[in-house]
Amino acid sequence: MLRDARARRLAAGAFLVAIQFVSDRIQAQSPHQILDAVRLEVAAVEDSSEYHLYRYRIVNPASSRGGVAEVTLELSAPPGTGHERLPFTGHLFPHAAGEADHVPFGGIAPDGWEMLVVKAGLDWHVDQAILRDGGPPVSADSAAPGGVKSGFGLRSPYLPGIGRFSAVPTEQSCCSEPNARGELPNSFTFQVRGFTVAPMVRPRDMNLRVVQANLQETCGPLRWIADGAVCARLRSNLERAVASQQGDRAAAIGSLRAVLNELEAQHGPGKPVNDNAYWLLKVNGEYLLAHM
Amino acid sequence: MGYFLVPNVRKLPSVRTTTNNGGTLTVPFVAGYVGGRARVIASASIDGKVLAETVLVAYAVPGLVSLKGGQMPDTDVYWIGGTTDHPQGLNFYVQDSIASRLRPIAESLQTRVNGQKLYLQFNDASLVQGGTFTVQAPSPVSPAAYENPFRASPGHLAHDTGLDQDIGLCYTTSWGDDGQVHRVAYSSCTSNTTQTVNLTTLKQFACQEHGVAQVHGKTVNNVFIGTHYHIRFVGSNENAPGC
Repeated sequence: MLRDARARRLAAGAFLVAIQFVSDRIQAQSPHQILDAVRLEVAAVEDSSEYHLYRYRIVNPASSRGGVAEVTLELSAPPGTGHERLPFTGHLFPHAAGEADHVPFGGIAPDGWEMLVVKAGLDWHVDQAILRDGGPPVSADSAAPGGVKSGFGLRSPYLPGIGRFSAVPTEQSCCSEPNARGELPNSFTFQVRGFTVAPMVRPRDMNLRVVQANLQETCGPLRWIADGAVCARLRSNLERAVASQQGDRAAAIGSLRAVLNELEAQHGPGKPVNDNAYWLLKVNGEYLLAHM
Repeated sequence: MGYFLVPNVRKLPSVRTTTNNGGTLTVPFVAGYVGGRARVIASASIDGKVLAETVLVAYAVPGLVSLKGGQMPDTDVYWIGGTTDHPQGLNFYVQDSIASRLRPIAESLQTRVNGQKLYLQFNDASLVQGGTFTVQAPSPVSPAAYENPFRASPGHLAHDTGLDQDIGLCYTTSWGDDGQVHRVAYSSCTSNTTQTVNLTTLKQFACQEHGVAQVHGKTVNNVFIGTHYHIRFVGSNENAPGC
């Protein structure tokens, strides 16, 4: 009996089982890039009595190898700002994905595109990735390579700042070839990012220093104003406005008007101030001018 | 099916050693795959006599919990996926941290069409003990909680650790578990986009919960046919690829 018991202990108690987890099962996606430097350009910022209406277009360069089927614009705000929604025009998916604080906003989508509030941003995506019989998903619409898609918009009482966006290619351009396990790639892994103009600044927080910071970015890494001489004149006039705003209100107003006049003169086809820079600086400058 | 791991990291198919003064010995054994079981033959020579015994060692992914009857209310989803290989109910196990992440995805993706509420169809997650489970048996087999990952037509090779969840392409109008009577097959909604779970929306909600949603399917005559969505989760402190 003793020998039997020993044998059983040997057999039953002798093994520690180790389980090896595989944590990296999600296959690395193809590194090749589908979208080039996609732009989400602000086409206009119109003043309503209660909010600003930001109008956007997606510009997909001809060097891209696929259409844009989705764009997400970040609209985050400091904690405590809340989750206020303004009216939406177009199809809004009823549930929000995330509860982060965001600037007050409402979205506008063109026909065939849907909206989803995601984290602290607004996502525009094509109506549906249709799973056709006998084929992979297909994005129903897109901003094609070399093309422009208009009709996107935002309502917000906040003034413009420089925000981030991401763009995702169509399913058919990136993600129609299954791997050996029968998995199609996730189009999100092919997303590209960029900067645009977005509602970011509470009106009561707007001041000349914010406009100076905007100018620094637009003349610097963003290159939304491509002419150094124009940048220098704008910078100089803004500095004069800052210097005189405490003691000489008339001089400050004059300098700010000079900034706005320079923007008007240098904005348009073939001119160095692009739409993003123009609307960013113009709307904020005019707001300050009206409240000086 | 596994190997013995002895000091200085040697991997051996068998090991010979001696018991301690208490008559026991310990040899680490590394499972050859996740979830399942193996027979280990142990023989001992005691006072010149040889005794042998076969023990069954189970490999289990620890801490898997059932979504159904657990953190996922029956009123949130419609349960599908039971087969002769794995009866309905054995296929809804996940790691507990995943259970809490799947619920907001299920609830967020509920929708209404013409006043009719629509629910996600929750298909296979993992088995009770984890490990591979078969979905395309070459021949009728008995229900099995442990399945052989090395068979000719293996099934969900990725669903072995409780980190994966399959979701039907189509919505259904029912919730709960009625034996799949109201299951809507993947081919039934392709011509009706309002009945199809939106891929982009699913990806976005999965991203919020640190998961990657993909289309899975099969290739027939060189044509890919999507059959279901699949979410693979990563740790809650990681960003899922693309998110």
